[in-house]
Amino acid sequence: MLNVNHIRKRFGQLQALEDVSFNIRKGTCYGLLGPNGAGKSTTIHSISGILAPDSGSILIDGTDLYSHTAACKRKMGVVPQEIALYEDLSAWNNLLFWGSLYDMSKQDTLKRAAILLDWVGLADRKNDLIAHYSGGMKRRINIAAALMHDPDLILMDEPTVGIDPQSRNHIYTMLQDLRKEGKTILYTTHYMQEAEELCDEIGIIDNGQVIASGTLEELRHQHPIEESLHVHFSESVTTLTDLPWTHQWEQDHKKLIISSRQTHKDLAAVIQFLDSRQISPEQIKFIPINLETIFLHLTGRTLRD
Amino acid sequence: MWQIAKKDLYIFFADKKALFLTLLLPIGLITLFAFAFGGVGQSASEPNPVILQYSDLDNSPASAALIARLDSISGIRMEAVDTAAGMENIRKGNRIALLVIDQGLEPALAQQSALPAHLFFDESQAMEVSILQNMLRGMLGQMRATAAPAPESAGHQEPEASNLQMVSVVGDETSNWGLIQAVAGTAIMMLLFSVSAIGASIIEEKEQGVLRRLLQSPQPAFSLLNGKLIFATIIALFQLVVMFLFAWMAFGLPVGMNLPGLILMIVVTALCCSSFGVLLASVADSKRQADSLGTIIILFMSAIGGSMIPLYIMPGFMQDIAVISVNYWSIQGFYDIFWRQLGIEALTENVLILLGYTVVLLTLSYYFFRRKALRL
Ligand SMILES: Nc1ncnc2c1ncn2[C@@H]1O[C@H](COP(=O)(O)OP(=O)(O)O)[C@@H](O)[C@H]1O
Ligand SMILES: [Mg+2]
Repeated sequence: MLNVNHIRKRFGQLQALEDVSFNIRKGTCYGLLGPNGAGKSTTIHSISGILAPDSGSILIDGTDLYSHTAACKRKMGVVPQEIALYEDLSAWNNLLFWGSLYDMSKQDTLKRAAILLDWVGLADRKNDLIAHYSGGMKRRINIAAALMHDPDLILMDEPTVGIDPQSRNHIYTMLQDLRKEGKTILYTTHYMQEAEELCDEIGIIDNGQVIASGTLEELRHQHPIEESLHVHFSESVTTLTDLPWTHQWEQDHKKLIISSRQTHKDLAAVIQFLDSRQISPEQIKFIPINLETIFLHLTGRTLRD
Repeated sequence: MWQIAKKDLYIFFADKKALFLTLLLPIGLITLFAFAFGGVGQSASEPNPVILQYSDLDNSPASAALIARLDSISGIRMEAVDTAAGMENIRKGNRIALLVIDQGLEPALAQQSALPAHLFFDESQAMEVSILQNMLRGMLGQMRATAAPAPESAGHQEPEASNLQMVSVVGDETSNWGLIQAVAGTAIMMLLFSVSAIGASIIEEKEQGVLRRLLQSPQPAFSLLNGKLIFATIIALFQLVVMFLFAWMAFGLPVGMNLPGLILMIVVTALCCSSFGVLLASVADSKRQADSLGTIIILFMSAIGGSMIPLYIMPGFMQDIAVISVNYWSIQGFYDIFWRQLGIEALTENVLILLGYTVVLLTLSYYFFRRKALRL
């Protein structure tokens, strides 16, 4: 459905996109995970046909985006990172206006707007001005406005940033609905859990480069990272010199990190071992291989910084 | 682009504050200026050398002497014309006055009887005309004194002053140039303000990310600009129509006098002002910049173009640069309609120049819009 091939984009001195490539199969959800400033929005702008990359190509259903822009744009619905709605119009009128840009019949527009308002759970407030909505409600209308023309390919740029957990969950449900309808989705985020839980495939983007791509399983196996157990003690422990696992000490011997490929099995053994030495840990944490650890492994930084 | 204009109109009419600013504020100003200019006072300033047309039907040594003496005054240049052409020049606003000297100047001077001289003039140029009038009266008085010294016993006699017959050529009782000045001048200035606010909303849409979303739709990139232009033109038409209706109902401005001409001027003025607003939005980098740039340009154009101060009380060089402003051509058009009471064909020059401005402003708008607004 969507092929992004080695796109590059420079803003003055700044190489915003260094080399971005990924493919999204029809009916799947692809998560683009990266910290702020990684180039997620720039990638979305390029794919939505408003920012031609300096080089590389973008194909929508095999058609080159920048040579058949209008036709490709009709297949796409773009949910921008910012709330791009008219504050002085009601939710209902916003939907009608955004729908009117896609040459739909009056009847279809009205029908579609009613369905979407119902779907986002704001049908009873449809005549309120957007200005009077809460952040989470605006976000939902922001999504609905992109879906008026019922596009097959949906680009969502960090649609859950800065909203309350309840609205966030509502948006997750909406995303599941879209997946069930067979939509193809590109979802950018800097939340690791969102990428893990919502997406079929994930690309990790950093400094304008997609540095890893695949299913979570594939990403786990692509990288020689081990799961680990973090054992915390209330006092420094210096007596444990004969540990049978690969390990290292941190925080002045108050924290023990045990690496393993089968942590869940090793956990019992570790507890038993400590018990036999009459040392009781304050806390034991199970650290799985997740996107956070993969990102850390790839960049030496956490997603937060 | 029609959707965009429609949506903006909807928002506009829902916004009471915008309606107030577009309608009530200009109406208030028109009322104020109408009273201010209604009984126009003389203000001291350095006028242009005045061209005084004359038609010497007397053709006597006395009339030749009068003309020569007038011509020798530094502020006045004499121009010989025939009476009909001279009157036409005044009507069209090309000249402000015509001195007609009929036969029998010399005997009339000597006999202290009514002088066979008429000064035809344009009342909207009241200040210059009154200067001319005073000079003429003074001069005729001197000539009369030399021709027939008044006997001392007769005491004070000032026959000369009343002997020059003043005839207003342009306008009539139904038209009041102060009102025309107030309506046309204010309406255009306020119009520029409201369209520049509309233009600034383009920038606001860019800042809010709405422009980007519009561009993500399959609509052509310029549809936003075109939509705003349509919107601004409709608001401008609406505003001008309300202004003139108000002037008609409140002050009796005879709007029906040359309705086709009035409609034509309203339409080209609305188009020209709207393209100014759109250009402003395309050039400015931020809403704040658009607002301040707009205010400066509008105040400047309004000041030199005769929106705030009637042109004729400005010094000559100011009147010469007035032609660069949109206001000038528009206001002069309305003067032609209501004051000079000319037909629609007299507006050709004003209309063409305003349309020319529109084309130039729009071309620049598209150029800057492509260069700036479309860069994300
Ligand atoms: N129009 C622009 N002009 C200049 N620099 C830009 C522009 N848009 C984005 N950038 C820069 O490109 C980089 C990537 O930005 P962006 O794609 O918005 O990141 P993300 O969405 O992942 O947070 C950032 O350093 C940002 O400052
Ligand atoms: Mg972003």
